[in-house]
Amino acid sequence: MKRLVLIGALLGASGACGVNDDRPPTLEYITQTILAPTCAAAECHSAFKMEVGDQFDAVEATRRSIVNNVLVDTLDPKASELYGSITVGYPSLLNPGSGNVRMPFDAPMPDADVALILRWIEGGAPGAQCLPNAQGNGCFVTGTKRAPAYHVVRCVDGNAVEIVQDCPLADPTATPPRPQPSVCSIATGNGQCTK
Amino acid sequence: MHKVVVIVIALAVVGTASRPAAAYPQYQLSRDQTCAGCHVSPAGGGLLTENGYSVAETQAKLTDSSAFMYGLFKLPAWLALGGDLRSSTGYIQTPDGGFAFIPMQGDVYAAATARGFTLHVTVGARPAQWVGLGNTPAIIDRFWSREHYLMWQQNENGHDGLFVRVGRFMPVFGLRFAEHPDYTRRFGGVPLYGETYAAAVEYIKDAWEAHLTGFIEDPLIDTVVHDSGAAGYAEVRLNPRLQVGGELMVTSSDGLARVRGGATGKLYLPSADTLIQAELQVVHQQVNGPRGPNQIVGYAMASKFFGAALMLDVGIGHFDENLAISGLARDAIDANLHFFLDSHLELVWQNRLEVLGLGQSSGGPTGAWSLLHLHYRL
Repeated sequence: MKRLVLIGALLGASGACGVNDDRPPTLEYITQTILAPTCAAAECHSAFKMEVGDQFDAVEATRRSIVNNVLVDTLDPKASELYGSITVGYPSLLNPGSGNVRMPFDAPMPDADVALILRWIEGGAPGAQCLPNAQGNGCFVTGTKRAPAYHVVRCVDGNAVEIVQDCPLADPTATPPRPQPSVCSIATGNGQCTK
Repeated sequence: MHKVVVIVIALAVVGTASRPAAAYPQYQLSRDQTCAGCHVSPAGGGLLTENGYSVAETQAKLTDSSAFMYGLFKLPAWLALGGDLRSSTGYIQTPDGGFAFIPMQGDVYAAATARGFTLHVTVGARPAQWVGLGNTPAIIDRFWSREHYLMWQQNENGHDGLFVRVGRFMPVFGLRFAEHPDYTRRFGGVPLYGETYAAAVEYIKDAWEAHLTGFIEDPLIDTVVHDSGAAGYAEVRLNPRLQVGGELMVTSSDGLARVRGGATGKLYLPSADTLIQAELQVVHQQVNGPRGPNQIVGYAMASKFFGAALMLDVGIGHFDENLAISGLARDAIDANLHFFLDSHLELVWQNRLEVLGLGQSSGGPTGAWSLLHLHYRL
């Protein structure tokens, strides 16, 4: 038992030595170091489960979830659903009568991580916006790896507020061959329509 | 008669979703020298060998057959079948409190062996991907094969020597605690559903073993782990009661590069029938460039056996997500009491207290749970 106590003491003594939080408030950093390890557990917001439609295990997936599900309000950062869900909680979509449920569901989140997320939203949530073309539309891919679905969405204030058009996949084997509609191209990879 | 009752109760209680746990590393050194001594897989977990069945029979309150389905079906020598059903229910406060019922696992295993080659397949229930509020996932989306691999082993009739595996499985890395919330699993590179397509070369002897695995992100389905990379783990048994190990994992994914290095240790104290084991990792990350937090992940557990039917685990975990920033460390203490009614049915009372920023200027909410976990092995 003395050995166990010693091991515990050694582990405990490894606590942080710094105090200044100089972490970059960027979507990439927040996704990879906070959201993915904390929120994207197997049965939560991983690509595997995508609970309530939110996926936080990769940068592009996080951006899509934030934009499609309107999780961030840069005009009133503390009213953002993302911030509210980790500070006060909301009734569960799956069990609305359950009262407020704060996220993460399986383990608490450090205050410093909550503060970094708020700083990122207050800074305009760079990297997590719907990028409109001249017609005010953006392009998104949803669904799964096995069954992706492409959409043209209307972008308002950085959020995708409605689907304008569902895009069928190109089918070169059809007669005649069916190309993907050009308006649905997401070749830029950042969610902005190319045309 | 009690066999039938036990089977019916287990099937009735366990739900459909899946949350597999591995074997108990508490048994290594305390009951056998290697994981492969009791399991078909060189990594441990899942199907038992004849020796594993023997150990299972000795670790239970009631004495009965530990074979598949209590030996109701006679299997040919080349075929092994098995399965695990698990559920958990109790109170969770992380930090909001509430009662929870958690269907954990419903898996069936099969292994067919011929001339040193083994085809291993696990089929079971999975939590379906979100399909939108009010929609119901298709039946096919509720099942999957978490593991499937082809294995060649040098010693056809033994549990040591060279093993080569290709397929979908979890890379061997560290102590491989059964409980996935343990920090060295949750934050240590081998989380729940961390299986992916991989190729491994493994060598096992009573005195030492080594495992080297290369793996890629699953190209077929949406997965939990998006890493590709390599993992190495080796352990040396200095004597039958003491072993030390080393681990290294290098991965990359989506602009994130990560290197994990660590050490493990196990000590069995026969006079107290207690096993002490610990794992400590140092993690270096690079997020889209040179900037990256260094982390530390550790877990230590003491397991005391009380006769044949009871085992008490007391574990402590420490995870610091960024060593340079105060307030980002978390510590947990776990106490799990296992009761083995017979060689197939286990009850576990699981308890955790988790605190943030212990001894630091800031922290966060405290979390806790108390759950009753029911496990039935087919």
